[in-house]
Amino acid sequence: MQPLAIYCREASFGYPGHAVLQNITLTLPAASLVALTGDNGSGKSTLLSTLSGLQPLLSGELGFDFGDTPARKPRIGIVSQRDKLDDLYLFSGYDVVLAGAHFAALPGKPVGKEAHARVETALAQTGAAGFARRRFSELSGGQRQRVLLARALVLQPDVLALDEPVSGVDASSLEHIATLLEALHKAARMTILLASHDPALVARLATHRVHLSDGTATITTLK
Amino acid sequence: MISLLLEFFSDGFLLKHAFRATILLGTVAPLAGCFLLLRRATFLGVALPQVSAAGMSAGWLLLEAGGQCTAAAAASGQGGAWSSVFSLLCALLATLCALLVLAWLEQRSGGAADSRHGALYALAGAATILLLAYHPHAESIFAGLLRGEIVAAGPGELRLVVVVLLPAAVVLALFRHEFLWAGADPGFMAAAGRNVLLWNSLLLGVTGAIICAAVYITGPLVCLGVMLLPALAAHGIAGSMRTFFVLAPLLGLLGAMAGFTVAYLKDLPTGMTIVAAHGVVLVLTKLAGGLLRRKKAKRNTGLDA
Repeated sequence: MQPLAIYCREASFGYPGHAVLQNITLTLPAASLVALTGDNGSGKSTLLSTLSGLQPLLSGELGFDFGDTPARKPRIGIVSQRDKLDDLYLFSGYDVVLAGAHFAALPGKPVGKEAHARVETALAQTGAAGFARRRFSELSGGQRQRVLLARALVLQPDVLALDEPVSGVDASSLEHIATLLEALHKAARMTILLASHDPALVARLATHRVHLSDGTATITTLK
Repeated sequence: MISLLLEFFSDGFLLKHAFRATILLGTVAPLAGCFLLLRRATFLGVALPQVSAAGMSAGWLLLEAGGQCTAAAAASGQGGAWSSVFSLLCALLATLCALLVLAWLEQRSGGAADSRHGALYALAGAATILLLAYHPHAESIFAGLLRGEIVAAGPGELRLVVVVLLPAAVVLALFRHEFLWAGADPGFMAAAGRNVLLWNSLLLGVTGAIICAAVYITGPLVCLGVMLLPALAAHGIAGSMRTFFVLAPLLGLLGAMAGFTVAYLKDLPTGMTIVAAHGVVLVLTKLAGGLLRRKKAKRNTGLDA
């Protein structure tokens, strides 16, 4: 997979009538692991969801650089905060991960053996295979997070975007997630965006930090 | 019992069209109910049949104003194939317009969806009554609509219902993952490159079509019952999404056949007996679900010890 660089020029992020971040110009290098830091309400989730295509850019330019390969719409694997799935949905952990395979295929097309194999691999990668058959709503916070990470990986994303992936998770899940992100970044050379409040995690993993404060963004190279 | 069922399925059975429409409706409507339940939009399931009934009332009056047939004839299915198609189209149009307005309001002001659905229900109910207020047979039309007399269904009604419900069932089954995830985690779906608005619109359109067909042959109250009660019953005992979507139509079919049989044997109003049968199925599944959960908890306690 070709690593992907992300750039924005004089870009404003936020909601119609309320810009959270204004005139941001920065480049997130290909195959970097970028930590988005800042206080609550500083715009980390807004920036992440705009980069992921979930909300429109208010103004300016946002683009993806595919290097030598032809440009196309990038596939973003987003790991949202773990409590966002309504308990009414009777999904098992496996069902949640399989959704990634469904979205990698054509709509309405049943997923084949190869997709199931990819699901099993992702579950093994994230250490979620042991509890994947249990109901998603019955899993602990850390277990849910590992399942959601596996789902994003099954999608075979160009960019992985994680919103507070370790807040409130147990020590074992935290270690698993951190080790996996390190491996994905170093071995698979995947571009990873990580919104986090955890300074230890940022120091351990991030190659770059984008600090958000008072509507501005400052990028620092860490490694 | 077997001989009675064989009689129902035979071509010589007097109410064969009504029975076939009951089976089809009982199996397909719960699929739409499943999605409404999962999206916590059951109030929408209450409001839309009423909107559909209002659209149908408007259709009958337009037919009468255009000199095609009387509203009473159209309402009782005696107005010919054209009047049936026209009133169904009016119901569909009203439902789609209501869905568009709801989607626009959602986009514009967000939150408080329940109150909007409640307001829609009240307005549509009032519109149904007001539209027919000056009609000489209004009382009998209302009564027929509310009683949900499915036994009046003839070959024309059955044909229309088949044309609407079978494709709707195929679309719901084929794209169930898209419909499910557009509700469960629209953020992930959008980031994965799927158009959430498109899938939500398609689901609402299909749900609207199912509701119109159901209201057309049974009225708004029975439509609500056959759509939501089996979905609720299935949710109480299903262990996975797959079993939920298999159980809901099966329980819907069971309730519809049981209700039809009791109504036939005891000469009761068919639509309401079907709803009552769904109610019995719901109570039984709740009891079964409670027992299953208790057994599971006991087993887990045993494992922990």
